[in-house]
Amino acid sequence: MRDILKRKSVIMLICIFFAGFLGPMLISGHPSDVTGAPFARPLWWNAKLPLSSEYVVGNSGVEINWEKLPPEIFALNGRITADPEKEVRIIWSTPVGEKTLDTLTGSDLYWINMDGRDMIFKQKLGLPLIGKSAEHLFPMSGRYSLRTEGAMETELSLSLSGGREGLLGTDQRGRDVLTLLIFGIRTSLIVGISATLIASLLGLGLGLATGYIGGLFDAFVMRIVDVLLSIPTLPIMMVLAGLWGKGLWQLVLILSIFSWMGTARSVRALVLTVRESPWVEGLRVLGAKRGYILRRHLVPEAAPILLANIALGVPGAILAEAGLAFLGLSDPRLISWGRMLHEAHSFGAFTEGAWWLLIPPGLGIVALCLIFMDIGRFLEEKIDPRLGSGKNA
Amino acid sequence: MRRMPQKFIRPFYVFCPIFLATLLLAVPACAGERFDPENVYGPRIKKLCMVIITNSDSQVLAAEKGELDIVSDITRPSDIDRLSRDPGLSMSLARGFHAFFILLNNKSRPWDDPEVRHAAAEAIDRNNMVRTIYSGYCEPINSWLPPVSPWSLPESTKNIYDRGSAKKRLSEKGYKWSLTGSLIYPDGTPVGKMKLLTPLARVAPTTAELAEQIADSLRSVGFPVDVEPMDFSAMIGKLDRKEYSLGVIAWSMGRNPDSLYSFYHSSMDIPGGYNMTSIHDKALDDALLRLRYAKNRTDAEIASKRSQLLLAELMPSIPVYSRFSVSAVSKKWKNVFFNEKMTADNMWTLLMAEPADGKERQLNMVLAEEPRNLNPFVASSAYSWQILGLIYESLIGTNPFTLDDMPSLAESWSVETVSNEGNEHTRLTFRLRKGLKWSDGSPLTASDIKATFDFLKKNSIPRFYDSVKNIASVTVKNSTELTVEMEGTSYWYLDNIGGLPCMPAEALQEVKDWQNWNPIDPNGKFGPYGLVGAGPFMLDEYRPGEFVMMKRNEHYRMLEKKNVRAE
Amino acid sequence: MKNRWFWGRLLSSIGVLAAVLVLNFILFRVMPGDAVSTIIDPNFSPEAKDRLRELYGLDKPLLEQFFLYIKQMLTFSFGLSFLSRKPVWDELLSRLPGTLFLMATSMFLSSALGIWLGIKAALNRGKLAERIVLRAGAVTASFPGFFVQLVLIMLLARTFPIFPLRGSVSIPQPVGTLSVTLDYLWHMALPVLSLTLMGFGGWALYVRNLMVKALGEDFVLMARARGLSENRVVYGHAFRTILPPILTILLMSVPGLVSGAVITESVFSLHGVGTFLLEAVSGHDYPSAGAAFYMLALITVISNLLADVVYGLVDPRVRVGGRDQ
Repeated sequence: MRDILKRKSVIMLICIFFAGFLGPMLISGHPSDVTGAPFARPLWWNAKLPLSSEYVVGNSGVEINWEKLPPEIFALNGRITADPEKEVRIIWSTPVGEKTLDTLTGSDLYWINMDGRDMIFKQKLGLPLIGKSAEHLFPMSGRYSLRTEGAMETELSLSLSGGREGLLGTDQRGRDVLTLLIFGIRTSLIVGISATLIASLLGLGLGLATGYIGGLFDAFVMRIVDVLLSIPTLPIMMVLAGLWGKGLWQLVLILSIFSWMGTARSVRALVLTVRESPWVEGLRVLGAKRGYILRRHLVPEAAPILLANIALGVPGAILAEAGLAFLGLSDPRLISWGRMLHEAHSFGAFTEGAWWLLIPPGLGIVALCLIFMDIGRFLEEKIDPRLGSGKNA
Repeated sequence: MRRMPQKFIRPFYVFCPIFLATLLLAVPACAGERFDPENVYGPRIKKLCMVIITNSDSQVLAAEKGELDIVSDITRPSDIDRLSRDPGLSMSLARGFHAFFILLNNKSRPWDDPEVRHAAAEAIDRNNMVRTIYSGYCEPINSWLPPVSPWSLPESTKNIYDRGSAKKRLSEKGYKWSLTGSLIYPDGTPVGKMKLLTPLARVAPTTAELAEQIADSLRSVGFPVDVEPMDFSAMIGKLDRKEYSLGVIAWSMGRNPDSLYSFYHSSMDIPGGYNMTSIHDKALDDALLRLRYAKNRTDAEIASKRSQLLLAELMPSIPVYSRFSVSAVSKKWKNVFFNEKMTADNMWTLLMAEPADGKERQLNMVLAEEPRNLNPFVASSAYSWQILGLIYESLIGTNPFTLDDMPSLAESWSVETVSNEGNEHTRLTFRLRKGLKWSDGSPLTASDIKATFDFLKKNSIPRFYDSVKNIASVTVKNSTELTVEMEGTSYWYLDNIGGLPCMPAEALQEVKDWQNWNPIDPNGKFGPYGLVGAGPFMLDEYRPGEFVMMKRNEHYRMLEKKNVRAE
Repeated sequence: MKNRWFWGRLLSSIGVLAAVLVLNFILFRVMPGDAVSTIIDPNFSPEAKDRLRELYGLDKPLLEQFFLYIKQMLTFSFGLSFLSRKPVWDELLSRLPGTLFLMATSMFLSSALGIWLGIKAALNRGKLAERIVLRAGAVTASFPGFFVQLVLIMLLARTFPIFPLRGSVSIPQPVGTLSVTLDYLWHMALPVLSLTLMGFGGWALYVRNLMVKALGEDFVLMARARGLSENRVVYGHAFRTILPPILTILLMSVPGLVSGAVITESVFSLHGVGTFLLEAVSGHDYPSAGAAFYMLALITVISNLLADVVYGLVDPRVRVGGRDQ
C-alpha cells in the first residue's frame, strides 16, 4: 500500500489539503471583504481595462494621466477645512472640459463621501441616472485632475476601482474569487469526507450486524433501507434543510443519512457469504465468540470494500453538497464551491460573461472528485485484480 | 468590508436628499410628452404576448436579441448597466412601492425605549448598502409610506445615517460600552446577544446580504447583533408570536396610508395581525384611528400627516431603503410612456404603443413568474393579477401623473357622510360612463356592478373580504347610477370599493363553484369558459410555462371613435 | 416456491410504501408555518386569512387531516394545490410529458452510448480505447451536472448562440406540426445533451466491469472452444449474461433521474415535474408536495419490485436461498 503515496492524485490531494487548511491562515483579510469593483476581470485578462488605483488629493490637487478604459467606480472621501464665508468647489477636469463635483459653503469643516454610483451624484452632474457615471467622467485618454478651490486644507482620497482585480477576478459584490476559492476547499473536503465516513461507519456497523445476526433484525433494517431508498433524495434534503437549519454539520448529517445504504448492502452480502464459509465455521467450532469473529476476522475482510466505498463515496457527497448549495439550500455564510456556482447563476455571471466565477469552482469540484475516484479505483484494483486495465492482470 | 472613515456626514445628507427630491419631481414626463389620460385612444396593438421567463439572465438575453419588447422591474445592477448600453433599448427609472424595513420587538429590551430605536436607525449606513448591493439603484428612506405615494411626507427620502448622533443618544440614556465595544445597559448588565431574523438566501438573496450589512452597522455602535437566516414562514411565525428581537422584511407597500392602521395600531397586535413590532402608543392609536375612519379627504390628510409624524418620532420599525423600479423598452416601439412615478411597463404604454416602423405585430412583454391560476376569486399572486388587471377594470383608476384617483368605469362619484338616528355612515355614489360594453359586446350597467359587489360579499371571497365586509347595501338608481351604503364612516371606503374588479352579472350567475372554477378549461363544470371584463385586453391563450397571449378587447371604452388620437 | 417469494416481496413493498406515506405526512406537518401565514398584505386581515385557512382545510385537527391524506393518496384524488387552487392531478399531468421526454431520451441515449462503449472497452483490454473510456467515465462522473449545463449554456447559447437559452418553445410560436416539433427538439437539445454526457460515463464503467467479469467466465471459454464467432460469443452469450444487472440498474436509476430533472429543469427553465416539486416544497403546498412525493415513492417501489422480479426470473438462486432466510 506504500505505492499509494506515489500516485499523482494523492500528491495533488495532499497539496489541496495544505492549501485548504493553511491557506486561510496565510491570507490576510476575510473572504467577504470587498476588494474591488463587482465583476472585475482577472489581472491577466484584458489589458485595456485599468487596475485599481488610489490618489491622495492635497491642497494642490492631483494630476492623473489616464490611458486606459474608464474605471468602474469613482469615489472621493475625506475632509475639507475652509472659511465658512467662502465657497468651496471641488473640480474635476477632463481633456474635454471641467465639471464641478460639488459646491460647499456655510461650514468650517466638510466631510466628503462621494461615490459615482449615488443618484445624487449623477443628478448634480446632469449625467444619465441609469448607467455607470465613471464612464462619463473619463471620456477619453489624456490628462485629468482633481482639485479644490477656496479651501484652507484639503485632505481627500480619490479611489478609482478598476476593471481588473485579483488573480481570478471578483464576484458580483466585489469579493476576490481566489480567496473564496481557497476558503471553499475546507467546506468541500470536510463535508465530503465526514459525510462519507459517517455513512460508511453506519453502513459497516449495520451491514455486519444484519449479516451476522440475521432474522427479524435483518428484515427490519433491510425494510428501513428500502424505505430510505424510496424517498426522493433531493426533495427530502430540501425539506430537512428547511427544518433543521443550514449549518455545516446539519448538512453532513443529512448527507450521511441518505448514503449509508449502499455500504450496508455490500457489507451484508459479504458477511452472508463469509459466514457460511468453512473457516468461519471452524472458528465457531473452536469456541470463538461472535464479537471476536466480527472484530478480528469479518471487519478486516470488509475493510478493503469499505475503503474503496469511502474513496468512491466522497465524490458523491461533494457533488451532493454542491447540488444543494447550487439550489441555494446551504448556509450563505458558509463559503463553498457549490455556493459560488449558485451565486454565479443567480447574480448575473452569465449576462456579464463572468467565466471566472464559473470555471474555477466547477473545475475545483471536478478535480477533487477525480482525485478521490482515482484513489478509489486504485484500491478497488488492489482488491480485485481482474479489474485492472490489463496491465496487472 | 472596505472601512470608510466613520465620520459625521450630517450636513451632506440633510441637504442632498431634499435636492434630489426636488430634482426628481421636477423632471417632466418623458417619452410621449404630456398626454390627457381622459382622451386616450387605444389599445392600438391587436396582440400582447406575456412571455413567462423566470430566469433573469434569459430575460436580459431575450431583450438584447429583440425577442422581448418590454422588460419590467430589472433588479440586478449588472443587468441594468448592460441593457443601458444596448442601442436598441431605452431605459426608464422611477420610484417604486417597494420598501425594506427592520422590525424591532418593541416589547423586549432594549427596543422598548424609543431613543434606543432612534439610535439604531441612525446607525445604519444606508448609503453604503445602496452602493455595494444595488450599485446605487435605490434610495434610503425614512418613511412608512412609499415616497412615490401622494400621501407621503416631503422628507420621506431623508438619510438619517449619523453614527455620532446614535452614540450620543445611547450615552445620554446612560448606556456604556465595554472594552470590546459592546453595549451595557444603564443598570450595568451587558446587552445580551440579539438575533436578526432574515429569510433564506435562496428565497430572498439580496435581503439576506443586506441583513449581514445591517448587523455590521449595528455592531459598529455596540449592539451585539447576529444574523439568523430561516425559512420564511418559520420567520413569520416567530414575528407573529413576538419571539424575536430584530427582523428584516421587504415588501410592496400600498399607495393609501390607511394600511398603517393594520401595521401599527395596538388592536392589531394579535396572532395573525400585522402589528409585529408590538407598538402600543396612545397618541399613535388615536391618529391611526382617525386615519382609518376619516370621513373625508381633508380629515384623511390631517390624520395621515399626523400618523406619519408620530411614526417618525416613535420609530417602531426602521425604514431602510426603497428600490427604484427600472425597465427597458425596445426602441422599435413608439408612444412609450414613463415618468418619475412609473416606468415604461405601465398600462398607458400598453394602450398607446405602436410599432415605430408602422408594421403591425404583437408586443412581447415579460412575465417573471407563472401566473398559475386565472380565477379572479382565487388568484393571489402579483403575476396572475398582472394578467387579470388587463382584463378587468374597476370604477376608479389611477392618474399616471399624480397617482391620485381618476375616473375609469365611473365618470364621477361622491362621498357623503349620512346621519341616521345618531349613527353616521358613509354613502358612496357612482355615476358610470355612458355606452360602456363588456368584452362580449353586451352593455355594462349599474346592475352588473351591484351583482359583482353582492357576489364578493355573499361568498366572503378572502382577497376582497376586507374591502366588501363593511357594505351595508348596494342600490341601483338607473342603468348608470348606483349607491353603496357602508357601515360606519371611512374615507377609504371609496378606494376600497372603487378598486374592485367589475364583472358582468350574467357571467357571475353561471359561476357554480367559485373555488374550483377554472375559466380556461372549456370543459369546466364549475363556471363559464373564459373571462369577460371591461378592460383593454382579453385572454387569448395560456400555455403554462411558456406564455399568456392576450388580444385586444374590441369593445373597450377607449376605442370609441369619438376619442381623439393622441400622438 | 416462486409464489411465496413473490408475494413476500410484494408485501414488503406495500409495507415500505405505507411507511413512506406516514413519513411524508409527518414531515410536512412538522415543518413550521403554513401557506397562508406568509401572505403579508394589508388586504388580508387576520379574518381573511382564517377564511383562507378554512378553504384550504388547514383548520381541521391533525388526525382528521391525516385520514383525509391517506384517502386521497389511495384514490389518487390529490385535491387542490394551495398555490394555484387547481387540481394537483391536472397540474402533474400537464407537466409530465416534458419531464418524461427529457428523462426517457436521456436515459435511453446515455445507457445506449454507455453500454456500447463499455462493451468496446471490455473487448479492448489494455489498449487506448479502453483507457479513453475509463478516463471519460471517471471524468464525467465527477462533474456536477448543473456545472456542465451552465458551461454548455455559456458556450452554446450565449457565446455562440446556436441553441436557445431556455424554455421549450420560441416566441413567436412556430406554426405547423413539423415546425413545432423541430422547435421543441431544438429547445430540448441542450438539456438532453447535458444529461447524456453526464450519464454515459457511469454506464460505460459499470458495463465494462460486468463484461470483463463475464468474459472471464468458464462458459465463455467453452463457447470459444466450440468455435463460435467472436460476435456470437460476446453478444450472444456474454452480453446476455449481463442483461439482468443492466435491466436492474436501468429500473433502479429511475428515482435518481428525478433529482437530475429538478436541477436540469431549473437551469433551463423547463415546465416539468422537477420544478413542480421544488415550488411545492418551498411553498408549503401540502397537497402538491404530498402527491409528488407519493408518486415518486410509488415509482421507486414499483421499479424496485420489477427489478427484483426480473432478477428473480432470470437467476433462480435469488429466489431459493441466499437472501431472506
